[in-house]
Amino acid sequence: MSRDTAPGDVRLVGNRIWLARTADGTVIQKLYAPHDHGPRYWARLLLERLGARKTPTTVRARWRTERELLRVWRAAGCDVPQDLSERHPALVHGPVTILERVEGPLLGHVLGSGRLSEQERVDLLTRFAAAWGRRHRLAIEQRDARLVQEHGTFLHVIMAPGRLVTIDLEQAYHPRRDVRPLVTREIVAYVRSLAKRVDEARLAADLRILVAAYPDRSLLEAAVREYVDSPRLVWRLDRRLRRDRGRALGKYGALALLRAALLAVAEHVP
Amino acid sequence: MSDASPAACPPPPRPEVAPVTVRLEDIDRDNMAGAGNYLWKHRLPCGTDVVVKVYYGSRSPLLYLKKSFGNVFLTGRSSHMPKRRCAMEVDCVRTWERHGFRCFGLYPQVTVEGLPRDGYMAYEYVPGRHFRELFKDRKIPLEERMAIWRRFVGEWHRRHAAAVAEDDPRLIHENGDVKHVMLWQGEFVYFDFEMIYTAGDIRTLVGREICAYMRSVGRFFGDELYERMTTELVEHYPDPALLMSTWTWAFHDPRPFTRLVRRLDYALKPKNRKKHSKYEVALDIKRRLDERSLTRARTA
Repeated sequence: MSRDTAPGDVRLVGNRIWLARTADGTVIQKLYAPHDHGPRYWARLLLERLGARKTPTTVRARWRTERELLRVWRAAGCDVPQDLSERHPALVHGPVTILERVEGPLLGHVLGSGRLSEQERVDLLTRFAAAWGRRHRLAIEQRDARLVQEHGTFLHVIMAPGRLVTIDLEQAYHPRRDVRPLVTREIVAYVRSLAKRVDEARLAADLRILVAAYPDRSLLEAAVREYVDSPRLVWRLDRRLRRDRGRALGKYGALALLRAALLAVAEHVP
Repeated sequence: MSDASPAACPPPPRPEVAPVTVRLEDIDRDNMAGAGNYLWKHRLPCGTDVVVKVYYGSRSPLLYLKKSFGNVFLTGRSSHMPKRRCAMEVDCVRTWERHGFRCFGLYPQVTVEGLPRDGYMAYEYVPGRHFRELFKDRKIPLEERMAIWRRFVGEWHRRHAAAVAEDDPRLIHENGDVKHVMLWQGEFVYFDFEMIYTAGDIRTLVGREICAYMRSVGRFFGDELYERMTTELVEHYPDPALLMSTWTWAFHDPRPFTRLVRRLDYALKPKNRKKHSKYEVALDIKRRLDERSLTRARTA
């Protein structure tokens, strides 16, 4: 998402996405722009260089990463927008990608709106969990960190007719031997994004649906273990210091509900 | 609208003129232009009207040298010297026409006794209507004028796309504004290509040209038409990212030194913060493009 600049601001902060008409129909033209400016931008680049765990957030790096990830995810059978840059070279100049236009609301908005019936919600989350789990399994089997979504949230999934299309693949983790910790991190990010959009009761119900449909419960358990039950100092400190500690819909509250959902599903409690 | 690369088109038909030599004293030397050049309309023995453009204008040689120095060493443009401008204009006309854009036809077979051959050129006389008058003409319904503008925007983008695809600054209208386009027989006719940019990223030059055109729209047509024509531009220009190059030119030139100079130019010169300055036009186009961006819609 872009952090829009105020009118009259001479900076360009955040990507721009436009509809562009072509002979083949309407496509998406995505122009990559910096996330930040000034000291924050440089501090971020420095931290990235020091950490070196992910691809950089420079405009060029995000542009290259997204094009690579779209190709890798598509080859793995994941539903992502088609990269049409080669088909429309006249529209590609500078850090620009041409993408298939996928029409539909964002899954995060749909789940948060409360407009779905119970059955629709079950179908939708079941479908999502199956595709989600399949991608996680591939990432672990192939030891390919690129198949883990670095910025995972239900707001980065478009609900198109018959499709759940993942968007925003501008950053990726660098290759590593074990990608399971990255998968658990993505799971936590999704759970947290859901917690921001629904109330506690709804979240508990939704998590039970997700747990029931997710193919590998050990990964969900690992997410809980890693973040909630971990004796590691960093997580103990994080739990203690986070402002949302103790609130049901914060990160740890949501993960506690995930643990409850895992227990409930394991005991076949409806 | 198509994003396909523009195909080369044959030059449009124009009156055939046999080789002819004209004596300088036979030309009625009423100058049709300003100080930079002499433009003389002349009827050839075959009855065809031509315009003889003499690049040695009334300016002093020192001024030509000064302008050339500024162009070549400071602003990254081609020389202002008469012979160079003549050669450049001929080259640009041929380039534009090869891409299917109508310009004043060249009649190199028309020679003028008493003038240095590489300092003048005979051009087709085109009695079209300048944009400057056409869009101000309230006798033409506004919607009709806007339809012409929309058609122009499509052709404008086609030229910009060709310039970017071929990385050819000759396809950028260095002195582009509403004074240098006319409508004739349903076609847009472009003129004044004496100089080109020789330095700079081609996308940024596209942005500069758009800013220059839209600044002239604001200056000559006033706020009301500027608003409408800019809205039409943003809505119908087929490549929003290329249109955003207006902002790139004004505030984010890829060359750090140029960027700094432009920042200072914007900050220090009050005229550059007026509503229809090139910088403010760039900001206005950026604001309109931001409003059309789906990221903003989703955030909202």
